[in-house]
Amino acid sequence: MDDQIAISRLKQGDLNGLEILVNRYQAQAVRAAYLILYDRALAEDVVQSAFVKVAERIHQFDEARSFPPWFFRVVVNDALKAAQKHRYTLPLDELAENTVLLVDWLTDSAPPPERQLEEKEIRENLLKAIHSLPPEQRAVIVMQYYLDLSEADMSAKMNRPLSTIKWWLRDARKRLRDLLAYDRS
Amino acid sequence: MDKKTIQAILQDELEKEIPSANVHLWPAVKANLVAGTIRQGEKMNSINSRRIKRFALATAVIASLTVAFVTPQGRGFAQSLLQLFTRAETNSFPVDMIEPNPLELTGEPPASLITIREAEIRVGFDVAELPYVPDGFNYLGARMYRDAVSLEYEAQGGGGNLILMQSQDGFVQSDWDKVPRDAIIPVRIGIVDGEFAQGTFVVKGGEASATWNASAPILRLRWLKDDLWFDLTKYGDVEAVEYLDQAGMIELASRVTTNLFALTMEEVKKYAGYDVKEPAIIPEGMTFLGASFDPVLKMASLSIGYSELERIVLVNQQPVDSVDTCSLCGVVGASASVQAVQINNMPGEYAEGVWELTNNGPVWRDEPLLKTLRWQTDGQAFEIIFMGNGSVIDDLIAIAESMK
Repeated sequence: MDDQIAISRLKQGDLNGLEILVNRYQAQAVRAAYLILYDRALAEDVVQSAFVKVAERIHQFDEARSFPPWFFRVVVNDALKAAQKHRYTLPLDELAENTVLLVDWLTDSAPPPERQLEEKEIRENLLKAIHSLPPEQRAVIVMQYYLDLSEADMSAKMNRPLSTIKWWLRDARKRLRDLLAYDRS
Repeated sequence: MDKKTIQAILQDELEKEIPSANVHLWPAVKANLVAGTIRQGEKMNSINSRRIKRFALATAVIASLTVAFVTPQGRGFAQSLLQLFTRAETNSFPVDMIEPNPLELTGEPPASLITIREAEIRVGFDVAELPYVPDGFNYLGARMYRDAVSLEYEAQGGGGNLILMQSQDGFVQSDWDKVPRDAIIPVRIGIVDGEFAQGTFVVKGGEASATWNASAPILRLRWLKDDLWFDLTKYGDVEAVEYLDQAGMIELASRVTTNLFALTMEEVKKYAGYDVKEPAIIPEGMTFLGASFDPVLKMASLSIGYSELERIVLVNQQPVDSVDTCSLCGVVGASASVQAVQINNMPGEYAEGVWELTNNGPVWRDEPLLKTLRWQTDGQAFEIIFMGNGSVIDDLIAIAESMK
């Protein structure tokens, strides 16, 4: 059953339609929320609530549109709110230089050759690198690299101007450099 | 290394961290949904029951709100972080002296009053509310102003209003809604910053400019919380609401919440005005999570569970003044299997199911996840709703019998 049929059934009050959507998108949604929150249990809570919102507001959804972007918008926004509420941050002493370099690389659209990293290094540090960012910038990374959304899509998803999204991407690099310099001093 | 490779690595690492096979949200989603149906039902019923008996908002209030939210000047306001009021450069500004023609419409008519639930559907976010109707006011209803929602209260006896406005996009406003810099007072509302101002621009007879009147009985408070812009405004200084000053406004603002159970036990007893009973026994691991009170239905509700995301037990209590007003005295659906029970030697009924909200009104649906126990004693109707699996009828009776 495709998303449209599941959504039509849900609009008619058939919870089996929602169950299909839950089973289809739960893992991706929990991981996206986890990348913002770094708390598995809280990520699952956020996604559960997001599915409940889907059920409550499904009549607002235009079936001609794709379901995942609409749904992941709810997940990312709610995860951000939860992150802001819980203020999840990584201690400075856990920031390693290669982590900083990785985030620098990730947020730079055209890294110079000397900043290229080996896949092994990326594998070892990727999640930690994302964790070192503030929640808003994590959300940007999640949407760009995990949910594969364009900057314009991200702007719409986060209810932020495109300029803000670009600023977040740039600021991620600058902020980490400043933090590292402070830590060294 | 290109973006696709990074994505692939991210997928791999996340699969290790959170294997797909370990994510099973459906049972919890279904349980939350069922609980949400109850909460929505309560909300809808309570708001619907607040039938508007008086519809007499002062024209000035309507006009100022309409102007404040439909003019384009304020769109930039949302961008100016921490400046919740738009600053007026001077204490006066020129106005067009056009004689009003009473036969012509001079502005957009106000939207109709609607329920909070209807407003939530239109705006797509959870509307925050005051957990109680402030002393001296009657609740009127919700109203839409473009993308903003206002919850409106009227002073008992008329002559004053309290308007709680909220929007995801800031406030659109005109020159009339600006505030001179020296009239703005920075305040703290709970954990967020806000701004308070008293006064308004007025045009005195024979003058061609509007001048700031700092003593006008219009008190405004603005703050930003959880991505929502809030504006709480009190109009009028009639005796019934005279007590509500700057400190009172801040106290009220700090209580604005989307939590339907934001009252303490002491508060719910105070607002109920009757002996609200609470269970001496609650299931192991659960705690009291807050209460609510509907002044029209006179219904007190206590929420019990593990956390705000896991509300498991709901205890409702309502005086049985008449069958018409007793929402806890109704019968369940014909398909329900009702079991007669005894609670402290009083007859009670137990059923499994839920009233679902549909376009055709509430419809009973058998739902084993929801257990409902109802009984009456000493002129009060009681209901305990339990959400979860298993046979809990004996536990519910024990909770009911412990109510003091």
